[in-house]
Amino acid sequence: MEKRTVISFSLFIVLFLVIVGAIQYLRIHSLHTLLPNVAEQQMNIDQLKSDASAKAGEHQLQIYLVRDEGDLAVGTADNLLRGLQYAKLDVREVSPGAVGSIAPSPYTIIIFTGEDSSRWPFVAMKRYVEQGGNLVFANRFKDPAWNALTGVEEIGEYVPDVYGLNFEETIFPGYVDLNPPDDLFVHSVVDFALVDEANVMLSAEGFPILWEYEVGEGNVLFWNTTITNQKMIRGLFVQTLGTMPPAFVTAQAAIKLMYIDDFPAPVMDGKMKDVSATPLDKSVKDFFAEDWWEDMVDLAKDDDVIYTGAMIGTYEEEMELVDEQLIKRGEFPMLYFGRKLIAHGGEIGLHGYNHQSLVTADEPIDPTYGYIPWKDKEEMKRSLLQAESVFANYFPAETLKSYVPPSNALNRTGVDAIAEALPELRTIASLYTGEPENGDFVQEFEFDATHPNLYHFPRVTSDYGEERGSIFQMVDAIANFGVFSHFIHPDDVIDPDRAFGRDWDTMFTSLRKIVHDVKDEYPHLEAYTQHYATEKLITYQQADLNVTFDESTVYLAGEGLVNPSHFTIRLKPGQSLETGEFEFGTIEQWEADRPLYLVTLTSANAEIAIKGEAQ
Amino acid sequence: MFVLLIGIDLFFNLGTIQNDLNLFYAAAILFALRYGTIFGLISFGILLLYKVLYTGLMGGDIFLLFYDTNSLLTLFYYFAITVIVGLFSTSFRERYEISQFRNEELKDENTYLKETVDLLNTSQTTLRQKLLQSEYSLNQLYELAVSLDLPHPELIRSETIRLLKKTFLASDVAIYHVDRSQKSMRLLIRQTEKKEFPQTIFLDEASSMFKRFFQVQETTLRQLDDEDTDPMLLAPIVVDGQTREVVVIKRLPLRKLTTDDLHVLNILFSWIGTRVQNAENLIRKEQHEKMHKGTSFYKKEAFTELVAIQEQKKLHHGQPYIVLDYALGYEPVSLESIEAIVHSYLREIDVVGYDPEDNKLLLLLPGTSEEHRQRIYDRIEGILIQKGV
Repeated sequence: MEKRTVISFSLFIVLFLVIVGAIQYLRIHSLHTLLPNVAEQQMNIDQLKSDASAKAGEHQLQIYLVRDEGDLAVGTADNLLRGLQYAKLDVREVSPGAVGSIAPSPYTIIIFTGEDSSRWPFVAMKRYVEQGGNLVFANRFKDPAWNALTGVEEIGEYVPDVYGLNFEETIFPGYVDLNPPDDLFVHSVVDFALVDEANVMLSAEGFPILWEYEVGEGNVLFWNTTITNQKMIRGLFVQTLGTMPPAFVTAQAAIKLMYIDDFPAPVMDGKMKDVSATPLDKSVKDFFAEDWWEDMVDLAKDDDVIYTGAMIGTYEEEMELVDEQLIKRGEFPMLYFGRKLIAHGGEIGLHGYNHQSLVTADEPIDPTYGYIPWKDKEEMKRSLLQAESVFANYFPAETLKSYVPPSNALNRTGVDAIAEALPELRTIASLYTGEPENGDFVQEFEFDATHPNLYHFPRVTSDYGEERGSIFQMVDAIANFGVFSHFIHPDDVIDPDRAFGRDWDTMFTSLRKIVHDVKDEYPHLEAYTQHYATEKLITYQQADLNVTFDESTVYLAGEGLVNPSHFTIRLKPGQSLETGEFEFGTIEQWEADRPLYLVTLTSANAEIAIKGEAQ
Repeated sequence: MFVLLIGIDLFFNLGTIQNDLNLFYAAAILFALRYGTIFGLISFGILLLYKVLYTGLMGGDIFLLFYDTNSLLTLFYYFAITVIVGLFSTSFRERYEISQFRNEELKDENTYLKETVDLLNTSQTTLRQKLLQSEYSLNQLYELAVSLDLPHPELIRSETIRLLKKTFLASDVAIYHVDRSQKSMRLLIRQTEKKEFPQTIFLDEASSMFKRFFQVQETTLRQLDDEDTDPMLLAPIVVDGQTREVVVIKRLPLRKLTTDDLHVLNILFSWIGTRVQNAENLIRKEQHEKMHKGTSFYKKEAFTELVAIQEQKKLHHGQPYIVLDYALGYEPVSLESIEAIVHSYLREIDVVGYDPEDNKLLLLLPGTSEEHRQRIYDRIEGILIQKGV
């Protein structure tokens, strides 16, 4: 090699090393301040412009919920009321004594809850049904006097602990049959013998759970169960309700939300093959950076999801770190995963200073977590502010807008601490279903009663599994009002108790199937970050929807409706809607045994013609 | 080229630059391979800039390009490949350039060597020619010496003209006799197809070339400012240290003559003088018997021979002559006194004879035309009478 080449080569090597060193120094220390992160994705939540001259039909669906006494009645009424309201159905609560005055109509539905039939006006209800009214018994009860209305031929004994739920017909696409030992639903049923005219729609372990029965001009639905007080039946209840009137419309918020809890968070040391069932000879950090994250990005790209992360500062139990230490620990996860998350359109929410749930010693929490209770609200606030300082250090232009309780455990003290320490924080996202007695922070989709700026947006499902109960819950929330909110933990793959011996490929395949199925079955669900999902759902809930009917027309109108707005329209067998694109939006048919359509509105009102005669 | 690639990438929104493996980097490496490190690095720099801008344009996080180890390693990887490939390319280019320089130097050296060898060959050839010429010159000299080894000046002059024509390719050659006063030259012999040489040249009226010649009295060549009618060469024939005769050559192919030839020519001119002097001495010795004692008057028989020779010249060279005879009125007391009178009125080339039987003075005047006979006769007769001869 020529001398001149040797010198050139040496110079380039030196230059190369200098550049590498400079970049390495900059990337570790201050490059992120010179190159700010991509701003969090801005999403528009538009509203449809209402039209005052919109036509309206003669009929309007009216649902009456008979609130009775007794735990089952109250629980069921509360539960169903939520479900009906989420679906933007017009529901009024009435007392058993007042129900007799309700005029019969095909567009009127009376729902009885509980099992104290002695308080219900049988004669009036019989006349009501025979004259065309619709009646729903939301809980099983034994009263031979009502057999003429319920389609029961013979009343047997109460049967507790009946597991599962089987569909005798496809009521809404996506629901799966549940069989023992799946314990999502554990019924208490009555061993009824039904008349032949009763049409069983749901069953469990051979017992009829839901059937319809025509009486005169009207229809009766009978829920031979106690599970209607559970959230995961709301969607199914709403959709089965739609089988009764001539036409039935429910609203869909059309929100798809995907959470990654504990993300960004410090990554443990060690090799994958040593700490997990994933036999990779690489560090956990490299695995998450190279495999896990890339898979998650592919998933988001292929199946249209946007991630909302929930960061934590440290996994240490005690709050002993000063800001600088916490910032230092968060460097790699915040810069690498945090910036990538935002760059891919995601949002970083707050999980906490550490993974200790914000509950005091006086508040319930599952003792198996082994968490150290917080002394008081002030200590919680300090931890929240310290965690926020980490976030602000790496993302100075952003604010924390969402909070996810560690282990989904939270109580009023924690909520107050959050509201006071982080006044700009908009959403607390915990669980839709859970065990409050064990500290689970179980929420409804609503504003906080104490802090009116704070909105509760619970997550419906979780984990990587294809557990059928979880699938059922997921579908039920979508059937109820079109919300998919799922969360996963990255560290499940390195936690033997949560991985259940599965390697990452197996877990990811399961997760991908879930998300892919949602995209296939419910393409109308739009992906959002938590912040925009909250804004959309608030807009959805605050909008006024006016659905009216003629014999052959459905009129949709509203004020403040989200653009676009989505609705399901259920018709009687023999009837149909023309599908395709229209001035008001689109209509497409869903796969179900009875006519079921998805309507997408891009204008605030629509007249939708019903074709055919009800059979 | 990169503008085109980038244009295509942007127009079709391909986002190729975001892929770890893409044509852009391949193009940069090819650039480095073809044009060396600098162009390779410039290409890489352009691509890096484009990648950064594209990332920013597409709403990506530029920081992650450098923070993400995979992304950074990819950039370093391509940077290193570009540098290494560029260095190899540059190295090969430098080697090629050095080889080229060496080749050019060798070519130059070869050219120099070739020129040197040519010069040596030329020198050798020249030396050989010199040597040959030297040998040739010696031969020439020998031949000249032999040729000019003649007993009579006239023969020498004739041979001189022959030699000038044959050896030195001269034409239109003449030899003039210079009178003692060096004011005129009289034609002794000429060889020409044209009658270009006058019988007498008066130096006062002659061209500047003749004047210049007589100033230096050496071999003189015609110069640019001389007249076209002037001869090509004038050469002196020196006898007893004086220019007695002049060789006039009208045409001489100087370009065909070598330096040695000219040198030999000069020797020839010098040699002629010597030979003429020797011949004259010899003749004088021979003539001494043919003359009356104590005079330069030829006896009648000898005079008759000289007339015969002159007659030959007239026949061969067209040179006129006249013979005059004067009958003396009385027996001369002393021929020496008559000689003293007559010679002062005659030219050097004129020959005087005495016939004691008829007591006649005989005059042979070479180069004098018949038409001047009477006038000269009368003038001489007048002098003889005047002097009482």
